[in-house]
Amino acid sequence: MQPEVADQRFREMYQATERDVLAYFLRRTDATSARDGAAETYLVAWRRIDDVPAEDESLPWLYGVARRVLANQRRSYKRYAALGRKLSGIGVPEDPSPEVIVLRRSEDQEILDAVERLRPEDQEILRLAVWEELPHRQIAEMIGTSAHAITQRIYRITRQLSGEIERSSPGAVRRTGPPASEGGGGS
Amino acid sequence: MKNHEDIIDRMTAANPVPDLGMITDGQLAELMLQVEQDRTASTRTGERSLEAQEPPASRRTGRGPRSRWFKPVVAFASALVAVLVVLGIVGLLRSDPAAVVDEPAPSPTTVPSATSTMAPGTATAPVAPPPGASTASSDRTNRIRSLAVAGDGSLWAATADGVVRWDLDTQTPTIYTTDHGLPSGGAAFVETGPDGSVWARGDGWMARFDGALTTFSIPNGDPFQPVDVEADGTTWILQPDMSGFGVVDADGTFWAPSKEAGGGIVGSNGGQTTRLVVPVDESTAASSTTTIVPAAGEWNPILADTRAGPAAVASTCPAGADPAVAGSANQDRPAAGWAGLLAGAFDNRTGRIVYLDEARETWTFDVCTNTWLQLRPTGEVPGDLSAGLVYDADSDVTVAFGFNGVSVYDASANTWAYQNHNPLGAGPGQFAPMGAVYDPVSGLIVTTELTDGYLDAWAYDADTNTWTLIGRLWDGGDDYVWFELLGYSREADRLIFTSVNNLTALVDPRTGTKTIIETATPGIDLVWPGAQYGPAADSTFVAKGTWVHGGVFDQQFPDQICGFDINTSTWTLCVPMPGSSGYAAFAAMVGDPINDRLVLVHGVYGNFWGRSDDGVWAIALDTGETVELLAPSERREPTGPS
Repeated sequence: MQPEVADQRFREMYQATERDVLAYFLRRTDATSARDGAAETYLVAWRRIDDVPAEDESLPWLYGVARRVLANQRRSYKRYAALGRKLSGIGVPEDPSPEVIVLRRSEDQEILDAVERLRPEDQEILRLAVWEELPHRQIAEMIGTSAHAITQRIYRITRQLSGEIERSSPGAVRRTGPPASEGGGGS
Repeated sequence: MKNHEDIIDRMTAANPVPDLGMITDGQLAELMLQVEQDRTASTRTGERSLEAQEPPASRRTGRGPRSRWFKPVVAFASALVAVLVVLGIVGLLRSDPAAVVDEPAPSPTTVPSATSTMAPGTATAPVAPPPGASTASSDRTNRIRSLAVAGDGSLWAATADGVVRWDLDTQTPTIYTTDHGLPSGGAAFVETGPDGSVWARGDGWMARFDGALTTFSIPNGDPFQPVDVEADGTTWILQPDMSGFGVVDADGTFWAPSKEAGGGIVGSNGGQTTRLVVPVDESTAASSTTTIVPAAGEWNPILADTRAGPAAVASTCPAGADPAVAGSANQDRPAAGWAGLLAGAFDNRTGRIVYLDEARETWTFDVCTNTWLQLRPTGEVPGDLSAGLVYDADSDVTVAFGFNGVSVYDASANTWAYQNHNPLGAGPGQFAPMGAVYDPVSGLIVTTELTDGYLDAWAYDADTNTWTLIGRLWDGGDDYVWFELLGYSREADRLIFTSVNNLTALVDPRTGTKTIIETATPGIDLVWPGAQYGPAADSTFVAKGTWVHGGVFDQQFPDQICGFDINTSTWTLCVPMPGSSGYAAFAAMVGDPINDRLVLVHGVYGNFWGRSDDGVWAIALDTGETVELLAPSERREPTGPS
């Protein structure tokens, strides 16, 4: 791709996606890390501009890169934190997640805590679907499965979360059988 | 549905950035500044010569990705940064693990035990890899699940059969399988450690490649769980990355799993494409068909008991009815909506399709007049369905398999009755039945308990409301194919399972013998759209469209509905997706034995929640012709799935 064409393509892509990509990171980490992560994501996109899918497909591609960037950020941060403790005893937050800096409603915290206990890929699928509102087809492309599998998997995840919250709620009683009120199996 | 919607609602409410308008212009300006600085300092792939001519002043001068952690450090520990720089361990802070080569490799103290060690104690930067094979015994080695670039620049792949190291200079592979020390053949993912060594994870194990191969057992068998690896106060996380987006090597070449037939890895760099495929040793290559016979006592022979009673069958349409004429567009009809909630089954006695709509209302579709009728049955309608509806012919009831139990619809009494809280889904976090078919020999319904770790077959007797465990079909273990029950072929007397790994399995329900066939396979999962079984359609039909959009399937079954040809063991009974509006699938595909056609209810056009319209189509099984039986009440623009 000619440099001027690549530059134009990148700028168009950037303008179309900058808020979405920055929001992706802000939903998962602190503001500074979010900006750094978004910048690195676009750096990858710039270097790989020939491989970035066109138009509507570019955003999930960027999310895929962002996901990897975020994982590396957290990995580096954990290593940095451990090294910091070792060298100087300076305390460093364990994880620059938004929970550190945002005072949440307790009910929001409850669901976020439950989500954190999911396996990482399930967490990401749920966030991509609900927070990024990414179509299941595009999530499926990112994960390497079918959109229907994503649909069903989200369903399973919400079922799991529902059970998690039910168990962790004060006064929760584990059911041993179907309550009478659920005679039809309705959930 | 309430729990599902509640969770979605709560997740939505907990979104830290619910509105993109919350992002300020200042934030965007900062980002743009950083991006432009990074771009200026960067080399775009395929443009090195151009970059080399730029004046040095325009180049990166010490900020960007590799230094981004300096900023939070400075915020509260600038002195520490100075120490780190002086110590020359800046590389530790780099985000690109492939470039970090100067830190001693951690020993995984959080991992309980090394089960086998070929050359322990060589914890330095990557050196020559341990001996491996140069040819594979199966093309499964070319099914790529994850990629990583090691500190020495080599490219590593987790595959369906082993781990492969590619020397990118010579483009030669080194293959590690169970023959070379891996506990099992299938690797879930590979990642590069902080020291540039390569780690792989499989079911119940992980392995380090750092000049030696060391394997470790992991109590948690789930290969997708991350593992904290600690040494000397340093922690890093071995975690899966299944994005399939590939990796960039030191030369800027982007490597990703190939979507071409035969798999492998494809690399692109400025328009130049390279494909890496492990050569398969034909002399040792496994057969494309594998038969597995269960050990004695492992398969309950309950399905071999021929006890299905006679079943009444409606065989003709009444005089004057023309099933080819579209139904009235003005008729009442079921509520379309999220396709995962919709299900249908053909009631052989009444000759009508029993259907549950999004509002959990019960309807029937008369295949002779193409009209809907709302039934308003007594009793409680079933909850959310996990395995759809199955008509139990000898019991003359339609059984709904749901996340919270089983409900049975008796058309003669027009009642729903909740039967039991099945043993599969008996608690939060457990699994509900996935896939269900009627077995005309035993008169039982076969379903499966599909988990991330195993797949068990169960039988449900609607007459006595009892469940029987038949046997374990697969331990997830070695290969994450996750077979799913799609249907039953009366012609072959086999249950049909598919996976997303181009594997189709035929299971003899009487003996449990499995025949696994490597063939281009639609990767439809979890039995939706529903598998079709019926006297008029002994093939299993699945919809293909954007619902199977990733991977090799995209090229294999574009916009088609395909059936499995039991004679050739291939998915070659394909017809185009009907309609011109870009349907991705249908909420229900139901065999119509009266008219020898497949009825397709509620076309899915694939938006966020897989919404569907309320139209009905049919495919003639003898000619493949499609006909619109009922036009949707609201016609969409033919723009295709979003």
